[in-house]
Amino acid sequence: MLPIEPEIERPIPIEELEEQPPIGGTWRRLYTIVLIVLVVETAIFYWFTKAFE
Amino acid sequence: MRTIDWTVLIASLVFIVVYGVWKGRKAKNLEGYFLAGRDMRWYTVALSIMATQASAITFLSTPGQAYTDGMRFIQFYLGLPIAMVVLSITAVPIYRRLKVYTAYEYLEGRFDLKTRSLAAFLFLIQRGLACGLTIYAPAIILAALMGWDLRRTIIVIGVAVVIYTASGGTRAVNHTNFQQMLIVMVGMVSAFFVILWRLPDDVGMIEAAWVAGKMGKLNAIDLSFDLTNRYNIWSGLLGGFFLALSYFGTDQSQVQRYLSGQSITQSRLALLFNGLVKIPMQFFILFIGAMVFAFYQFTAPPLFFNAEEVRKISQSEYAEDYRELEARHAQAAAVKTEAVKELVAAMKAENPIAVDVAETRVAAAQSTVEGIRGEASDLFVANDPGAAKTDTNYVFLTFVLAYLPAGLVGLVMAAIFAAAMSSTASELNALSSTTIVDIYKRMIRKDASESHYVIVSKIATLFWGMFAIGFAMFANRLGSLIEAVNVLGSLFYGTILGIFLLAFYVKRVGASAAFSGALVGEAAVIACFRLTEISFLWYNVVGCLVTMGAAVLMQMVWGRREVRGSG
Repeated sequence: MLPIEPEIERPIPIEELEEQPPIGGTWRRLYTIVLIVLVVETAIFYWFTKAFE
Repeated sequence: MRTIDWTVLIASLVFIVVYGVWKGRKAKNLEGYFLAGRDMRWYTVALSIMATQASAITFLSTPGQAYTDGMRFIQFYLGLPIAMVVLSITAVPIYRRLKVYTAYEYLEGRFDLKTRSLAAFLFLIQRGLACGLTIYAPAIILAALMGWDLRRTIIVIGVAVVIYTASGGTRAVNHTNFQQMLIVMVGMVSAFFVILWRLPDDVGMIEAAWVAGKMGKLNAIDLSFDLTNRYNIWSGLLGGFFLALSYFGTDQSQVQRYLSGQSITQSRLALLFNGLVKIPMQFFILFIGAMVFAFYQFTAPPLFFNAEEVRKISQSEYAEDYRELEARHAQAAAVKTEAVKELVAAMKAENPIAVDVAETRVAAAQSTVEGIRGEASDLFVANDPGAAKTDTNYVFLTFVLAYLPAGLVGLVMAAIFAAAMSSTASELNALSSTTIVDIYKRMIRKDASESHYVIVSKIATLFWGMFAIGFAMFANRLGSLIEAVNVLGSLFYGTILGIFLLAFYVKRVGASAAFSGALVGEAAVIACFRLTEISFLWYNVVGCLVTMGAAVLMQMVWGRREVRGSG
């Protein structure tokens, strides 16, 4: 029978998991910023393609 | 290269090696050696991640790709930021919470030893061979264009990397990657401004962009959906997302970078920074290629950029035929230059009818030039069936050697060496950690002292360094095997990702179902590769989804519950 819990688990303090980013407010907001930048970049590249074709 | 170029190149090489050895001198235990004591700041980790991904061939080949195929390659990176967000949410906290040394170590806790060993073994095979190519690919280009001895070039790059990677481990790798990335960016930015400076007086960046755009080189986004089209927005977003998820989430050469972060926050910030900066950086490098293309519309380019192939044919029975082609190419290029100048004048005058007329003339001239280049390729193959038919990788460096001023040539050379060394160092570091943590420490010698493990880790780095150098030395004799090695990576990434996603998200799936699902997923990828025309980016999607689907189905059919913790 194999053990239920991972043998290698060496937990770290839970505070580190809940730590918020030093910039951007919350992690959720920071992730949203990264995804919005991707959308904006894609739109700019599309405009760039059309503008110079 | 002139004396000042050699001085810049040698000084930067010596600096990197000495700096790496000095930075890594404190590693006394396995955590210090493989994870830099988990005390790296996010910006060091971030640049190290970027330097690991961007090998020398990235900086040599990408501008050439824009020159020949346009900027559509940028779409390859569109899935990367999404993958960085997903990994920050899932993989980073899981790996950090378990305090693993390697990504594969996690798989034993979640599934079993055989799944861990399978993933580690696949990584060692794939990355071990790829590491040799990371050295070989830039060395063959440098040797061809500079007239350097190929073996010596390989040895210089390989030995320099091995010295600081073996002695200092991850701390040395991360710190030198940081410095190397700075050298690379300074080199590329300098090259960009020289290109603009070398354009004719009445042609600025906007006019050059017009020319490149009208000739189809600024095709950054393609909205059409076609599974056989390698680069469009859909393959980039979906295929690129799965590839980035797999590469950054399961490839130890990247996982090891962010495991060395000071905290979960530092590791996450490093990945997110990569997600923000990677696309603009690649866009900039591709734009350099487009500007080189524009430059060569006003200045006659060589018929073929690969100087080694030109040298070989010039000494063959086809020498006279090639000279004729060169003469015809020079004439066609001159006609094209006149047409391009007309196009620029018409665009400046904002005369749409004249633009249309000039555009037609440019397209006809371009078609003639491409036809002559095609004839040259056929001639190379007629002379030597194994000859290179394309010269994409040689375009940028040819421009650098011909048109950059003294000192800057040395700087760009230093950037190419830095890029080759940074990727190789991360790969050696990861190969060593997987060999020692997943095999030696797990299966051969479990209870040795920390100093013993550090010593064998250094030996493992040395071994993989020698293996990579040896493979690189004989790579030119392997012919199509090199292509096979490149394909190898894309064949396994999807399946490995499927195993990890099952481990992260599908708690009900046990070890046997995951292992069997991986075999089915791998069979599906190989079937796609052998039987269809589907572009390689989609292999990652197919491998991952089939692995996950088959594992879930098997788990349901078998009705077994091998739940072993959520991870």
